[in-house]
Amino acid sequence: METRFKKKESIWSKALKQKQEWEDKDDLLDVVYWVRQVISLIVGLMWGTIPLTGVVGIVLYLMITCGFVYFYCTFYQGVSDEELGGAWELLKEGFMTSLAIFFVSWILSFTAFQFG
Amino acid sequence: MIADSLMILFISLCTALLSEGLSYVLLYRTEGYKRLKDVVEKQSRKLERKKETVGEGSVSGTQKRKKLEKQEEQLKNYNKDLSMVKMKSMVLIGLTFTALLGMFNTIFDGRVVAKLPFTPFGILQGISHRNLMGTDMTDCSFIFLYILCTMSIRENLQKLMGVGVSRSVSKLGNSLVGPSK
Repeated sequence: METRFKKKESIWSKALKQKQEWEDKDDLLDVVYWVRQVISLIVGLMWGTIPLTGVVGIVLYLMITCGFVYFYCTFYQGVSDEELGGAWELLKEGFMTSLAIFFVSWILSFTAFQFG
Repeated sequence: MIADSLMILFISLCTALLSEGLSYVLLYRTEGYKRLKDVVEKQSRKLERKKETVGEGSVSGTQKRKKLEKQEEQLKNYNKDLSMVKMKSMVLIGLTFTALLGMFNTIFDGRVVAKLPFTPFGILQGISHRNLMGTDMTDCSFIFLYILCTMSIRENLQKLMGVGVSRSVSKLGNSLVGPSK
């Protein structure tokens, strides 16, 4: 349990540094997965508070989340998408779950601030 | 309205926790499941590595491919066994949650539980506006919010618990289910 926790800790400290060596590509994909969930939550809360509505909100969210994932891996970490199984594999990592988080936080904050 | 929304979020959190708890008791902690999951994971990783190294065209390449097909067949069988082990508990959990969903559906029937910041397209309107009066398509029904909440909570919970399907298994699982060339 302790070693697992230490491993996770080292992964996150590694994730913050630029151009790291990722022996196990699954670790990098895990980072991508969790960061994506957090971004989705924040963007959803922001869109609901502003409020941003309609297709524009969804398209902007998709651009932000997919753009972040792609740029973080290829430019910040210097890992090509081919090494991670292709651009498609990278973009769909945790996609459905993060999309659901985005919708829930967007709907709840929109309801709370505009109709609460 | 926001009280209903938060209540649904809480309900889906509780049902997700209950479902994972039941899965742990009935499935994850059993020796048979642990052993099979371990075997499938190891085999998938091995197969994935081998698939990357097998060359095309040469005689040795053909032999290796035949060996690979044999291993794929073996993995299919292990996957089938794993599905059988999972099935019993999944059916039980499924029945429990269908009953619970029916109960919550009755409580929130015809109630607008949230306002959508977008208008859902065609088929989705059938779920997002289910059993609601009026023509405002931004009104949100219980079932739509519940599905979204469950989708966002359940997989993250499984990932946190370390019981989700690993990437190599899901990647190979797709190719095993698909038509063979």
